[in-house]
Amino acid sequence: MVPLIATDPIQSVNTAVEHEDALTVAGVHKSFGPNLVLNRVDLRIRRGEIRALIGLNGSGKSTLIKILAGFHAADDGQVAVGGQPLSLSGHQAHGSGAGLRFVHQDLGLAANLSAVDNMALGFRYPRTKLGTVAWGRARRDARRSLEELGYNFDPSQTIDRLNPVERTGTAIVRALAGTDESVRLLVLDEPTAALPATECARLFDAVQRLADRGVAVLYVTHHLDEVFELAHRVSVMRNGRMVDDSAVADRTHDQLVEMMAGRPVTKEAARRGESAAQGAATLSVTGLRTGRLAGVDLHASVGEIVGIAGITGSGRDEVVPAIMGVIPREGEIRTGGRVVPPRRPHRAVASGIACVPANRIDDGLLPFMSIKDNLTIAGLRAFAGRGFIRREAEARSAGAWIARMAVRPGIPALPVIVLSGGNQQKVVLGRWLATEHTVLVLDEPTQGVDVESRVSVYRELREATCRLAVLICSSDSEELAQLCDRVLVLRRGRIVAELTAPTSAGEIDAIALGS
Amino acid sequence: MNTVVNRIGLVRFSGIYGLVALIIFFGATQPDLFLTETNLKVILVNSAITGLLAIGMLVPMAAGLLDLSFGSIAGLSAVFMAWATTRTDIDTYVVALAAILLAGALGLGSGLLVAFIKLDSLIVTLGMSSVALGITEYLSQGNTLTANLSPSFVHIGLDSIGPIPILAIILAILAVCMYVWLEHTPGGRFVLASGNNYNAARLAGINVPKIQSLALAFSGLIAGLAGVLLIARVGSATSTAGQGYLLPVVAALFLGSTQVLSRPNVVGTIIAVYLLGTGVQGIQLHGNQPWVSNMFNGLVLLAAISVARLRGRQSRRLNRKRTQPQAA
Repeated sequence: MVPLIATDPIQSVNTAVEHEDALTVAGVHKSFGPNLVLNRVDLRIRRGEIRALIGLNGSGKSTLIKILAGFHAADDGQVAVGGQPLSLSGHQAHGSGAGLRFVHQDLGLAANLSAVDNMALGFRYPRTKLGTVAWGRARRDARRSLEELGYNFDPSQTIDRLNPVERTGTAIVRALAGTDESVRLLVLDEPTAALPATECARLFDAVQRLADRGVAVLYVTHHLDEVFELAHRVSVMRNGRMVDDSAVADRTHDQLVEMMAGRPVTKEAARRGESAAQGAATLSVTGLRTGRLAGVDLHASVGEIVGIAGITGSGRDEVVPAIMGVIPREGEIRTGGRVVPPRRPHRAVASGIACVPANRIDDGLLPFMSIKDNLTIAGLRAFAGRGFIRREAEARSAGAWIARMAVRPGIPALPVIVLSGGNQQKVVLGRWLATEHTVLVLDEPTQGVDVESRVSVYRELREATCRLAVLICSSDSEELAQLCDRVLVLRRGRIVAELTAPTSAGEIDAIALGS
Repeated sequence: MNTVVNRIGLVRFSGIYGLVALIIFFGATQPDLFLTETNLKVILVNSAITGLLAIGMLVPMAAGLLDLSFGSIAGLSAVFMAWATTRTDIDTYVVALAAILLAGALGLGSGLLVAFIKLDSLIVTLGMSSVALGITEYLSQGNTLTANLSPSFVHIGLDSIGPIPILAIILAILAVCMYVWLEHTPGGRFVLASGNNYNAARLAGINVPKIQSLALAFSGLIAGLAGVLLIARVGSATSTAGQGYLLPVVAALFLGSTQVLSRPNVVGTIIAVYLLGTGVQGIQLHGNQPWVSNMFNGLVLLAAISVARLRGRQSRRLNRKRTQPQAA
């Protein structure tokens, strides 16, 4: 393990500016109930410095950002901005007044307003003598601010007509809006998560220009290549601790991965499975392309569980929506040799693909219908003798699945929405286990699911492989390592490795982060 | 206390208790007028057209859509009947069939726009309503059109079988069929699922766009049938013939959704239709003030949606209490 060196003097910053700390974080402590999420975190960022902050999901970097933004109150510790102490009572105006600015991952832009309007929402519209908006001046100011960061587009277009890079630029300019001198630190939270790989250069250029103006940048990312390309220094968080703080030049890729994952990386990680030996694929995907996926081939056969891993922004979360035809896609998807048409989810289901979506409430449940109705909806025609639903057969089947999945409370007539997350997930999964489908695709199958329910979900999935091919997309590497026969790792929209069981979460994480 | 309330269905069947209370009240205050065969028949017949329209609109509502065009489409169907039977020698029944199909086509038009261009059903049917009204005004040219109907057709509108008006029997048959379809067939369940959660229904394998377009086509067809039966009963029509049904039907549907099951359902809707019909008729016997019925329907609609929302909140709170130990 690399020792904590957060107190080292900072020497390697390549900007020749006065020695003034833009941000000093000392001993910040935070717990949510019994969970300690930030454990005495220290962080010092110089004027004009670009600092990368990296760490796996749950390492505490989001909580740290939220404390800086005043979204959470800290339990203990001090923060100073430009030498001035900042109140950590969880008040959002404090940080902004002191010169802390944030661009969050979702950018927070109003899609139907123009870039000019969005920027003005940050501070104020320029006015004419009559008190009306000086549109000409507003547009010129917006354009000039964008050009200073290297962006060149018409800011009077509405946000939904701008491309992702231009949107990010708008959000950055808005965050900086007001008097430029007052901005000491800009926090960019995973700014490339929504950007295609080819478009990142313009963002990097803008960040570089900002740093040259003396603004410090705290750059939160999952992508290590961005760290090496852009940052002066890098801070690594793991399990609520700041485990490393060093000049980027002093660190290698593998060292960073090791510190994030907390275990050594084995070099022979990316071995290829002998998957071609399998029989005819039940599900085969060729050249799958979406906004994030850049040509993915995969297949899954009856008897196996195939996992898909990948960090945020890798395209992992688009695999299941693309297969089901919920989002537009290119490429070919076949089940048992038959082509599955795009943009028609019910046709995908009819061709044998059952789906447990990531967002249970929005996409999985029929919230105000009963547990029984939710369990039988997908196989309802099997109960329909001469057009009418045979109520007793339906009730018997629902009762059997409630018992088998241990849904609690197991009252068939209860609206499904009143169940806990884990029990809701059992219902959505149970719906498909009772049908004749040949492929089961699951997106984040145990998100928000308690430990006990998780066990029964895993058991049922394993059992289902005797007649189903199972494909699981998950951000939980532990889950994939435990459950899957093969794990495909996505990075920047492409499959970069195929791991065959037995594998480990560390191995999956290491490849997902890039090597 | 709560168990007693549940046992006698005071909440789930509050409409029936309300209906009995209204009958007793008007029976006591207007004994000579209210509890007569003629008056009860008037209630049955007047409510039959409202009930038909409500049953028709129940399907889009179950599918999560609102149809506001049924009144205008019913009016168009009635005026088309009058216009076509006076200008041509075509058989009344053939014209009636054409009127119903025309109405269904307009409904299908709305349905396709909603399902495939993903427009909001409220706005689409509002637009379609104006289109139907426009056609109606073109046909009627501002006049009251008197239809030239075959005698057997007029019987349907005016006669009774035993003590029951034929129109009420038609409503009863349609209601029974709708009940069986909605509660006992996969199709009905798929409609309810589509209305519950569009995304989840699609991912459960249901062809939601098809259900949406057919639901609005169906309410159009039923509106056409209601218009045809309306002209069979009154013999003439103006361009505004269907307009007066909008509020009673919408009120009956929302009131009906608070009855029996906490969602759109046939039994609750029928209870609501007769509760409203009885109330309006009783009030009119008291003084025959036309504004009273609008006021009554409007207040019932507002009360129904308020009660539904409050009760939903209450039961969510109760359920949260009940499941919290499990979730923790």
